[in-house]
Amino acid sequence: MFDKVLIANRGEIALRIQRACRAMGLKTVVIHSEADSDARYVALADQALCIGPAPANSTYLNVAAILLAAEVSGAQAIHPGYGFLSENAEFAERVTRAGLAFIGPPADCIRTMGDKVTAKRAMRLAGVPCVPGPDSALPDDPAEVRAIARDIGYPVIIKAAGGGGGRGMRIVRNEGALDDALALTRAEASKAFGNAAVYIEKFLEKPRHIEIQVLCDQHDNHLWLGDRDCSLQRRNQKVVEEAPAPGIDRALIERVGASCVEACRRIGYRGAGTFEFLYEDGQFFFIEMNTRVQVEHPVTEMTTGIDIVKEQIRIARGEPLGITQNGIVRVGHAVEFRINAEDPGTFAPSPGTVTRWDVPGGIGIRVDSHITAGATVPRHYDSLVGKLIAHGGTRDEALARARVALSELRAEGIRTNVPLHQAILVDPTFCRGGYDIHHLEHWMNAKVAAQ
Amino acid sequence: MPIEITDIARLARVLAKSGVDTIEIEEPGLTLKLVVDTGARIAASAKPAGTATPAADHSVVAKADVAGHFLAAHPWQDKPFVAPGQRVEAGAIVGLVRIGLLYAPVVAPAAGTIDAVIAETGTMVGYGTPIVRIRPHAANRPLN
Repeated sequence: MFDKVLIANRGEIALRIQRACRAMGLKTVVIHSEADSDARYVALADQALCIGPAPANSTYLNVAAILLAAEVSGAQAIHPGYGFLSENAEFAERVTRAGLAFIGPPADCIRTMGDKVTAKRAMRLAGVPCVPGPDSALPDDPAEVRAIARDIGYPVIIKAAGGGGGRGMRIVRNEGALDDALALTRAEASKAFGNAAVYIEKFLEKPRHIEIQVLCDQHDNHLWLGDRDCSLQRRNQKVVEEAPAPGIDRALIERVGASCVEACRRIGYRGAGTFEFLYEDGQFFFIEMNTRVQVEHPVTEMTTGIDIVKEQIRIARGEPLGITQNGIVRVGHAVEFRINAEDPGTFAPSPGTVTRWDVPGGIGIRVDSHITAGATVPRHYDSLVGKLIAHGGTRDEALARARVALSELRAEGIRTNVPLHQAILVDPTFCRGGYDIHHLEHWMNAKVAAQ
Repeated sequence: MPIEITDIARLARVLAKSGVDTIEIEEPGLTLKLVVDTGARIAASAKPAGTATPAADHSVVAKADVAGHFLAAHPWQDKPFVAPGQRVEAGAIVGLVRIGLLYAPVVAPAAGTIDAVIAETGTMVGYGTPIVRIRPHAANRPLN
């Protein structure tokens, strides 16, 4: 049983993990790059080790340096956070082989779910609804592929088996465009992901992005905590997330949640995870599973009262979940706004020194951020500087609290996307809820056209 | 028969004592090569003390490039790698960083005279932690 955790990440999630550890009485070891030496969680750590210069390849993606730091510090467990090495099966394996606990699922689960084709096959077997299309890589013969596409019905989408996050995919609207699209996606997939395998699915025109949070221990307890709607996206990057998803039949979500639990049981899943779905015309379609904690986990924490990061750590320590499926009570509505250091109009990153950082508060408001006045936002990493989460008895109450909180938030020295969030909060479609994944881009294009 | 760590330590001491600087042992599936640093890269005598101290901004600093525990001396030796006043060549070992069973050298970035050993033996150091301050020889001053 470990009592010292190495946090192999940076930014707000490093602080989030550290807070969970400290509240559990565990010691924390923070590894960091030279660019993050002044960060708040570095100062708060029991031990902090600078392991390299700014580039992520030398530090947060450097498996050898992280394992050596664990050896030097005497840490017995590694929490990978999200991004970086969190979904790297090889890393999980090496951590375990070094005799340390990996705070996450077993490496073989990461591997299965990391390949979209094997993931889809596992989900079909468990009865999870999937997007129409075969759960195997496409054959080499274009004639066979044409037959499969005709069977599914156009439009279809060709995706790289090793891709994700909107990369390595191409929409095909008619048979004439199929051969070229197939060849191009194959070439890109082999170049970008080292895996030329591609697969085909029905393309959904106006889906919503809905996901299910799960939590599984080593004692055959598998739970789903709730659903999240993450449809407000720009270039496949989530901007605002909420729980629960508005306007969807709760009985249907209960069934989908139960099928996710069944899938976890079948693949021997352990830890926290998220099943991502597209939702269109009253139907759910599985797209992928994230085998880690997600940026938007706080909206589920706010509505269920369950500390997901703490549970991840307890599970890795071999403790049984102290919650039952029937004991999960979801209260009210929570919305998360990702605060990025970027120009609110052009989305260009805005690194620099934060000269003022006034954080909002009050009932139902939570701010997860590693920023303080005087902190630097390095240019080397993603631009997320914090998350503002508003909780209320109803969706309207949560949104009202969010408007007040955003008006109180003052950031100087860097530009942030707070004005974008404020504009979103007066958009009638957003306020109504239930929009599709293209809404934000259409809304922004309309605003530009109107000017 | 496998070679144990204790065998290696014993062999190394024998080599150092007898003045042999290299030994190679080959067995099926195993090669061991031991090289004793005879100190060729470290000048033997210290410069007379009391010479004018150059401005601090001219000094260069040997930094750790890995996180671990700093050792001023090799674990088998009592004498530290360097002491203030000693002259060193570029690339000379000025200390070690211990990471479990591994020892990583900290090397002088330029030739010069040791000004101070900044890091304390046994303390935890990280990437970029200053270890030794060196007054470079005029000709070898690194270009800024």
